[in-house]
Amino acid sequence: MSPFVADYLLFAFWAAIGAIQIGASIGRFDGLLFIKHNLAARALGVALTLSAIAWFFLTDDRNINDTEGGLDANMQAMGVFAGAFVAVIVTVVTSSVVNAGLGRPGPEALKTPEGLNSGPEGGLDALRKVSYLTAVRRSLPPLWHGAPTSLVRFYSGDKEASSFE
Amino acid sequence: MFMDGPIGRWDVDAFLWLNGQVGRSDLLDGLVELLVGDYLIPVTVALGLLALWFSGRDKATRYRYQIGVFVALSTMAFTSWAVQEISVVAERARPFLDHDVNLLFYEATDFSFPSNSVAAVFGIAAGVFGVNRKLGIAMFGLGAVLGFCRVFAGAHYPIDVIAGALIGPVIAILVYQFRKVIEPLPTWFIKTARMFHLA
Repeated sequence: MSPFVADYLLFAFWAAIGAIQIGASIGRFDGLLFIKHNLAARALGVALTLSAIAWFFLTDDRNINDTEGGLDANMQAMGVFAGAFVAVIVTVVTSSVVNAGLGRPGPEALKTPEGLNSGPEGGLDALRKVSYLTAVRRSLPPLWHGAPTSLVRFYSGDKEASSFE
Repeated sequence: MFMDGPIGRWDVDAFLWLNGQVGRSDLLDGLVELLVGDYLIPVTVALGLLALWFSGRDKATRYRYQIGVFVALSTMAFTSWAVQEISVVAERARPFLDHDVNLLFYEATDFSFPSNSVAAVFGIAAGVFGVNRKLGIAMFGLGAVLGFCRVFAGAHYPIDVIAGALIGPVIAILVYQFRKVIEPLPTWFIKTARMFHLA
């Protein structure tokens, strides 16, 4: 891998982390944020994205033809996709650590069946109240135990599809 | 083609006038050198798609945004293909091959007409505009800045940029109209991502 490609991948990853923080703060998904305060998390996202741009473009000449070590359009797109994919993984892991205590049920809630079974909402909405790891731990076991029936219902639209109409 | 007629002459005159402004302001030249590249504005627009994916506050809005992301990405792919096909028919050489140019960009080896990067950014912007007006307008603005910089830097003629700015949105409209052909795929992808709390 050439230094240019390595720099590009790092730039895409770094900036994508910032973009996810911006998007998650606008969507108010506290479980994905690195900072608990919403506006501060958005400012962090902007700072991460701008610092990635500044680092990549101000440290070297990046106007390079793809025939001379640069990237063609397809490789650029794949680089951004790869950077975004890794950024999503790093975001869910880091935010799960940072927000480990978010939405954890108190001792009183654990005494009642309702409190124990108060699972998160579906999709990203679950991350308004709990961390990513907590949301996955609460939602995947019921789905797994009911498979394949639950998966068939999920994709056939019985439970979820109506909300997409 | 039209490039030999009055439009072509206006195109060359406009290009030579705008590119002739290079060297008058070091600040403007430096800014254009930063913005004209293949990476800054296209990657910024792609990051906008990533932020859009996560930014819907309710499920219906988020689903609309995420379908918009699929339309934008599909448009980018089809636009790139269309530009390749058109460029080999038009066979228009880059300006620096036919004129004395103040080049702030590398000597590109592909054809000049139409501008691929401008078409891609305008295509993505049009896809996003269908679901989020503010972000779509911001992306159109970035596309316009990229188009201006491409001409100023000597990489394209104005007509190349204008053609790219038309091709992208036209393909976005076609993709949006025919999205039902591939419709099960985006919805299945979004549902799977929802299962893992990522959509």
